Amino acid sequence: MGYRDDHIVDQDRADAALRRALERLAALDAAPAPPDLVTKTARRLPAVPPAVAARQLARRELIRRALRVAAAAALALIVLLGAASALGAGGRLALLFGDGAGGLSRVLLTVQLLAKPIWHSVGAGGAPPLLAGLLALAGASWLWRWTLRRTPIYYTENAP
Amino acid sequence: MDQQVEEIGWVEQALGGDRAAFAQLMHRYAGAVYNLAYRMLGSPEDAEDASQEIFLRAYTRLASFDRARRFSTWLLSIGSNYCIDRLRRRRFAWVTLDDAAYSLPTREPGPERSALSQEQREIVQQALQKLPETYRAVMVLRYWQDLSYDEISQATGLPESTIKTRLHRARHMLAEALGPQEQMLWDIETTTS
Repeated sequence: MGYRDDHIVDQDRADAALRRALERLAALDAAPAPPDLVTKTARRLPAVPPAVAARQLARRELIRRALRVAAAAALALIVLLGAASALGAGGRLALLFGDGAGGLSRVLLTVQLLAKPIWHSVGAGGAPPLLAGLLALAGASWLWRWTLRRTPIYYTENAP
Repeated sequence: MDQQVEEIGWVEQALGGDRAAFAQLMHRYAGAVYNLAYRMLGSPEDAEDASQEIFLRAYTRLASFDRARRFSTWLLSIGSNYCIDRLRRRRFAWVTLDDAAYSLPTREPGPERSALSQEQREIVQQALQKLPETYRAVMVLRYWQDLSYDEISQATGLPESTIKTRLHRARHMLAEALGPQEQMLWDIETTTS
């Protein structure tokens, strides 16, 4: 408890001490902004008002999300139909919607036939390497990001 | 008129496409944004370019501004995030020998280097550039933008305890980076350790 109080006091003292030191060094003096900064930036402002841009952005985001959900649903459907086919359900599911010659039943049959070889290849010993590969990829991505965040920046004058 | 009320009025007008209202906001915060970018990025050219980008981002995201917050804190949060991103991208940028020579500080005493205070400012600025970007951001927001811990927390999205820890470490790093050149900062070392 005592340590924490001392620590807080020290933090405040250190904060004030650094501020005083920076003031003594005149390091806190503001650098003057270029006089034409506002004019230059004003010329670059987009023509679309921010409120309209926000509505457009929200609409685009909604469409993007809907497309993502549709893609995920299609993928899930392929996986499920492939699984059903591999487990011996055959074309029974597709035949629930017709005779397989046309319409939805034909679409389902086609998807099922397309998914079958993928499902079989994964099932025939492909799953462990696939899983290991995915894990390695995720690990490498995490490591890359972690390294990027931790590496301090060195400028040319610090370079060996 | 209360500053915050006036700024919210400008924000409302700018949302409808009134560029003059947004220009008022830019006039008010040009200095703060430019100084944040200058302390973060280290060069006046980069700071000017970054300041423009920060204002453009603020304009396009104006609809997301929470009226309960201070405009300055919101703007500085966009600014510090932009500068951190830009510093991270800089690591992967190819630097030609010409670019490197251009960015090296000159050894010849120019007119601006002749004054002692200018030289001291340069020393602090160079020491600041040696801090990792996330630590540099909290230092700049605390000492150059004079924000409270709570405001830094809002600007960075980090809890106050993390801000305090980062400031504590950043002070040590700054003292180390300044090294024997600035003995007067060693009292910070003795105070914090």
